[in-house]
Formats: sequence, C-alpha cells, structure tokens
Amino acid sequence: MRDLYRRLGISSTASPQNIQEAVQSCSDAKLKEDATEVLLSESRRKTYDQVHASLTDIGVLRAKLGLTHGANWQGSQTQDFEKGSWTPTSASQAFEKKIKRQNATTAAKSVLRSAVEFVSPFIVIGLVVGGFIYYNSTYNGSTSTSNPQSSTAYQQPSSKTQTSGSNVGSANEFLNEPAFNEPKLPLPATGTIDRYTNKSGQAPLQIKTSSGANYLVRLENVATGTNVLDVFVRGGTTVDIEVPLGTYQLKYASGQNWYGTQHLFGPETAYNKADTPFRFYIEGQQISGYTVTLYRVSDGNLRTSELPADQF
Amino acid sequence: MTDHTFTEFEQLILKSNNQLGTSILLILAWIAGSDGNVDKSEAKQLSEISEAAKHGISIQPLIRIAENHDLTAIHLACDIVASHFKGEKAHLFMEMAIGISIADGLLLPTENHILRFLADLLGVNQAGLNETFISITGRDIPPPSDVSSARYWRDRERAREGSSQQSKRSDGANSRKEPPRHSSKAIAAYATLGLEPGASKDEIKQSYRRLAQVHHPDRFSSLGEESVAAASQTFVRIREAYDYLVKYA
Repeated sequence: MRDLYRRLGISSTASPQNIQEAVQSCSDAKLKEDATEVLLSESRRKTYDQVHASLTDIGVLRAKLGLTHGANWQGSQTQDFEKGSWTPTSASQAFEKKIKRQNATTAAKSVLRSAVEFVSPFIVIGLVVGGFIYYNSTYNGSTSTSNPQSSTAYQQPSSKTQTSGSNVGSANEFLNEPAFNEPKLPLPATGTIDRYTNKSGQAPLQIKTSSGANYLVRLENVATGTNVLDVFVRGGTTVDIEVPLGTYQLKYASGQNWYGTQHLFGPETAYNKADTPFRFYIEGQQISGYTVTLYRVSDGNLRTSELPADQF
Repeated sequence: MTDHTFTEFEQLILKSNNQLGTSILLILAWIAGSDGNVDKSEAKQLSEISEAAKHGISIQPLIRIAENHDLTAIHLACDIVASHFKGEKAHLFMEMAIGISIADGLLLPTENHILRFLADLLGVNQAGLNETFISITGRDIPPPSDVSSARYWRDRERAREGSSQQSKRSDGANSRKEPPRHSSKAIAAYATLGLEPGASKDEIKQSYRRLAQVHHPDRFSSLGEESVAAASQTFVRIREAYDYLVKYA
C-alpha cells in the first residue's frame, strides 16, 4: 500500500482535475498506471481513501507509541505511512499529570470555598498590603547593607510588626541619605521564574494579586532556609506554577517600579512573609497545592507580617 | 485551571465508572468506523457492549470521537488498554478486536491494518495474531489488500466477471460488491462461522463447536464485564449463525 497522493505530490483532498493533471505530468509509468486505475475512479478512490486515512492514523499512533518497528508493521508495504519524526510519548502519564494538577487545584478550591463559608482559621489566603509605602520610604537600597527599616513619622498602623529597638538608632542615620537613583527597568512578565533547585515542579501553586502593586513571590525551604524559587507576578494578574514537593516559607516583595533582582522595587519595596508555612505533598491520588490571594480580604485566613529587607 | 483543559475523551474517562471499558469501547468504535462510518449493526453491537461495561458513558460520543480520527484520544485509550492486557491476556483483547472487525462478515483492509497495529501494541507477534484469527474465523488472516495498485483492482474486476457464479474471496473487501448466490444473511452467517458460503453441514457443526468453545463468556470472567459482554455477544452471534444455517442452508 503506497501513499499515491504523496508520490504524486498532491493533497489527499485534491479534486479529480488536479489528480488528472498530476497523473499526466507524472514520469513514473507504474505510478501513473496505479493512480489512473485507483484515484480516477470515484468508487475505488473512496475505498483507497479509507485505507489511506486509517494508515495515516496508524502511522502517527505507531510513532507516538514507539511501535514503528512492530513485527506486524515492518515489511507490510506501509513505509509510506511511517512517521519517524514523532517522539514516543505516554498519553496516560500526561493524563495522570493533568489529573493530579486538577485534583490539587480542586482541593485548593474546595478549601477556599470552605473558608468563605466557615471563616475557618487555617486556610490559605492573604491579608496584606496597605501602608507599606510609608513604612519603607527612606530605605536607600543602593548603599544600605544592613537593616533598612526606618522609623519615620509614617508608621504602620499596626505596631505588631515593628522591628526591634536596635534598628531605631540606625534608622535615624539614614534619614538624610541621598535619594535612590537606580534606573527603572521594565516590569518582568507575570510568571517569570528564577528557580534555584533541580527538583522538578509537581504541586500546583496559584497566586492571585490585585492591581496597584507588583509582586516578587519567593519560596524558601523551611528546613534549610535556602531559596527554592522566585516568581514575578504583576498586579492584577494570576499565575499558575508548579513547585517541587516540600514545605516552604512564602515571602514576597512588592512595589510599583522594578529595579532588577538586586534592588527589587527600590526604596519603596515592601517585604512580607506568610506566618504559616506552605506544605506541598502527595496524598493518595492528590497533590496538595495552594491558591494564594495577595490582597487584603476580610476574614482572610493567612496572616502575614512585614519583614525586614535583609531577611528577604 | 478548569475542566476545559481536559479533552473530550479525557472528560469521559474521568466520568466513567469503568475506564478500561470506556477505552476498549473507543478502540472498538475506531475499528468499526475505519471504513468511513459506524453502521447500524456495528452501533448496536457497540451499545450492547457499552451497556454491559456499566461505565455510565453513552456510546455516541465515543463513536463520534473515533469517526473524527481523534488520535490523541485513541492514543490514550491504547495506553490504558495496553497496560491492562499485558502478556497472556493480550489475545483476549485481540479476540474482541477481531470479533468487531468481522462482525459484518468481512475483514476490510482498514480493519486488517488496525488489527496488526493492535497486535504490535500488545506485543502479539505475527504467528500469535494469526493463531487468534484462526481460532475465531477458521482461516489465516489474509495479507491486507494493496488497494493502491492497479493490479488489485483489475484482478478484482476479472474475478467478478469470470466467476459470477462462484463466490470468490481473496480478501474480505472483494466479496462485498459481488452478486451473492446466497442471501446476504447466509453469507454473513457463514462468515461468522469462518466458512466459505456453501460449506457442508458437518463443517458448519464443527466450526460452531470450536467457536462456541473459544467464545464461551466464562473464559472472560476475569477481565470484567465488558469483556464478558463482548464474548457473550460473539457467542450469541455464533449461535444465531449456526441456527440459521442449520435451518436454511
């Protein structure tokens, strides 16, 4: 069984006229004879087309399944339908992965729903932002090597996260520091990720943000304190990423303008961390993941606190 | 991430109470539809197997997916079927596939190619495939007709002109358009028993006994409902063919 269309250089949907023309200009006598007898008869062509379609399907499937050297295929005059360019893949594995991801998302969603209903204390969401711009307004990112916290007149309404007294003295020294004048850089796209681990992502993490500020979200390994990944999320967007299994501390920096990975959002950068660690794990068929919403919600279930810049 | 990231077939699999059964049915529908469409008798057979599979999935979308040549779906079904019918069980699936292939009494070239593909999928070699085919039809699996050669069509024509009295079949596809000496029902009944039209009563009886043994539903009980259903169906078809031929042949 040969692919007459391919050999004639025409499409399998070619009109009878096109076939006629291709046959007439064909220099291969055998091919010419076959094409005339087979393709120029409507009923024969119909039968031929069915077999052609099946063999095309089978050729692709064999390639996808890695069966191109099957005992029942080789030597069966079907070499016209071999599709060597496919890499064998497992459809079931891809499907399982999709299911796991879906389950995890569903799990996160159902957790979210229950949060709305019961305002239960241990669910995932953010209560954040607001007030931070004043708080760090005099931080000079370019020269400061230590603690940038400053106690200006603009105080965070809540005193709970006020840093310890040791900072106060140094803070005053920074009051008259020259203005931050690093060049502003274009905002990275949402989902721009820096990974610091070789482990592949498995568990889903969805991050939603409100407009008004942009975020650099960081996951740190709770046990070792090492950085696992940074992901950039523009304000008002949502990103879905996959993270390696493990337990992480979630931190984030936020601000309006981007000055690169060293200065982040410049002197106005606000640093925060989630008070509870995030655990990504497999249980049975499900991978547990999270949806984190980084804006202030009443009855939110994730407390966050401000973080000194050097602890980011 | 919502449902729409799953393909239609994946959604059916997720909804299914019997994912293996749903996968088997898609492949059987693919075989049935490989000649361009799933005809009434094939659809009936599929929906009976579908009911027995108790998978809670309507057969219609599966037929549509197969008729649309949805290779992503067929690929997934192949993976699922291959993981269940490993080793010794493989020929049981081949029996089901052969069963639906010859349901209309013919083995078309498209069906022939698909059977060979499925054999490779399950690691059944040529001899193994042939053996299974013989056990069901009583004859060797023919090489697929080369419908791309002028010679095939000329031979066919000649056979048709030369022996209009004698029903000649070098390949299943030949006999479809031949003027039947026997009624089409009789020819189908002979074919079900793996016999040439006009076979003797003894041959009919012998063939029936052999096939009834092969397809006894009890043999398939370890494979779940849809396999038993497919076998019962074949079994019923064999008995009906036998009853018909004993009465009218």
